[in-house]
Amino acid sequence: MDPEPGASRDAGSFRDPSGFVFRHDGRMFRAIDAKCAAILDNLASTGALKRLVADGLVVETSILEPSPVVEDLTAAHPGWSRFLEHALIDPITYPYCWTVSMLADAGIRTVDLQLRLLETGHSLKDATAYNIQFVRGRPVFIDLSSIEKPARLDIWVALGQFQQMFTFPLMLVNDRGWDLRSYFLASLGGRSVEQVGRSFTRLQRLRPGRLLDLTLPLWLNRRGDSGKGGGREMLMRPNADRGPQAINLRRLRGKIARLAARYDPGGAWHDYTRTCTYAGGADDAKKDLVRQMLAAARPKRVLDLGCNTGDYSFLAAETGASVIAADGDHDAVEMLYRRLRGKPADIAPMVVDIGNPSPAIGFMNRERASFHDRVRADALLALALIHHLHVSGNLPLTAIRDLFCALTRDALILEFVPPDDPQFRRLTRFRLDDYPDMNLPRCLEVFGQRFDLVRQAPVPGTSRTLLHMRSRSAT
Amino acid sequence: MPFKVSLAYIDPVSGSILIQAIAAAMVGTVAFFRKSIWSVIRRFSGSAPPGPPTPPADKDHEGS
Repeated sequence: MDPEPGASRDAGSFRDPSGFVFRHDGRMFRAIDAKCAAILDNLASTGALKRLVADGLVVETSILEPSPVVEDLTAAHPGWSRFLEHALIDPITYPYCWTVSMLADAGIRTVDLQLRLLETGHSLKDATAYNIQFVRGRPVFIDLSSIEKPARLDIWVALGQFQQMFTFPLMLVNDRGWDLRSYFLASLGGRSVEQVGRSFTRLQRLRPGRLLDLTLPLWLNRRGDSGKGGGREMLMRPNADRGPQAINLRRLRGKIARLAARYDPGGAWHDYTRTCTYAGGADDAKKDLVRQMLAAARPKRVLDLGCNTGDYSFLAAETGASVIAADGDHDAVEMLYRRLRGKPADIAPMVVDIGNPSPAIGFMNRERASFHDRVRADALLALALIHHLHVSGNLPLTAIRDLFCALTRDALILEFVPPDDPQFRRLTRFRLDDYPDMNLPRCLEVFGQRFDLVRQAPVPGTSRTLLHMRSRSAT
Repeated sequence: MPFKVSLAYIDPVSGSILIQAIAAAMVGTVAFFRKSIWSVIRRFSGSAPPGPPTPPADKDHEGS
């Protein structure tokens, strides 16, 4: 997202009355109320907050002392006097564009943070997956106004939400073939225990792995809600024994890790890098060409669209760029993320069907921004993608050009794949069309209407061509 | 059928709170009765119950 001048309140930050996030002069701030400020001051004075940031559990944050900046912020947001500053996170990603392992790691990070907070008598009052963002491929917690000091430490009030956000989707993906996009996009808060329960037969619900987290809560939900009250009193009753909650959290942590480890990526395209090797070192030649083109474009932010398992995302990250790696194949992005775990880099993986990217959702359709509002780059890598968009996606060349133009502020590095290419032929085995537009002169003509050609280079040993172009609307 | 209940009025997370309360109560009960549970187990397994050894009787004061 482009930084906006002046103060602008984040459209997704309004549900929690104890604070909200806003941008001011390109920086990210959070206004917090007196109660939240007291809790965070206490965590800061004992050094706990600093340790949470240093251990990567919480986004880099500073509590602002009175200063001219704070006066400006108070003037822009009357009634608020305490502010935090957070490190800017870009791009913002949501659970419906994460992979299974990303969701699991976000859940584990939430549990780890809760365990750490518990040591000092604190707790998270909510456990939504939207409170986690990925920075350099690592999940961090961003919503500091969620920290509270509850009366009871043996119970975690946010456990139900945690299950809806992490445990249930992982169960449904593994055992029922769901995908995270369907799970989250249609329901901001995840799916209810009732709906998840109905996805399993009575016998399946009795399996030990489901009993404690799904079946018993479901049964208690139905039986326990007699409307007699007493719930509030139960939660207000002080209990400093954090043992039962800690035992449960450690159990959950293990369960989430096991659910993610059980997931076996089985998609088609993540095999591409292995099965589709170019003849006689063409792969290395292509990498060299892409590296040269990136060096010429010098982008700060690269979008690798159709990234597959991320070979070129890592290559782009090695040039010093911050990379968004997007692909429609969940399993390819899952493989990329698993690589990223072992080899940290400035790469943000996203599962995106570019023909049907995630829309703006939530309250007033503004709470969670659309893919196109969140993602824009200085250079767009579209390698071996154009034939998929044209053949499988039924997009005319002009539509592909406009799409690419919307995604890059400056450079486009495009690999043109002609119909005689073996991979193109694989795609069109049972298709009768002739694809008259899919020739290099026509491609140059169509893209030339909105881009200037900087360099054109054939990929040695193939009939493909790499094109480096610059958007004419470059800003 | 249980689904006839109006789901709109059921707090979706009440089950998670209740199960934690039950589990916490069970953990508390086990902790509270831990000593007596162990003594019962030991009694039935034949070993001596835990506790301070009984002091030997002071023979000098016997009969006084």
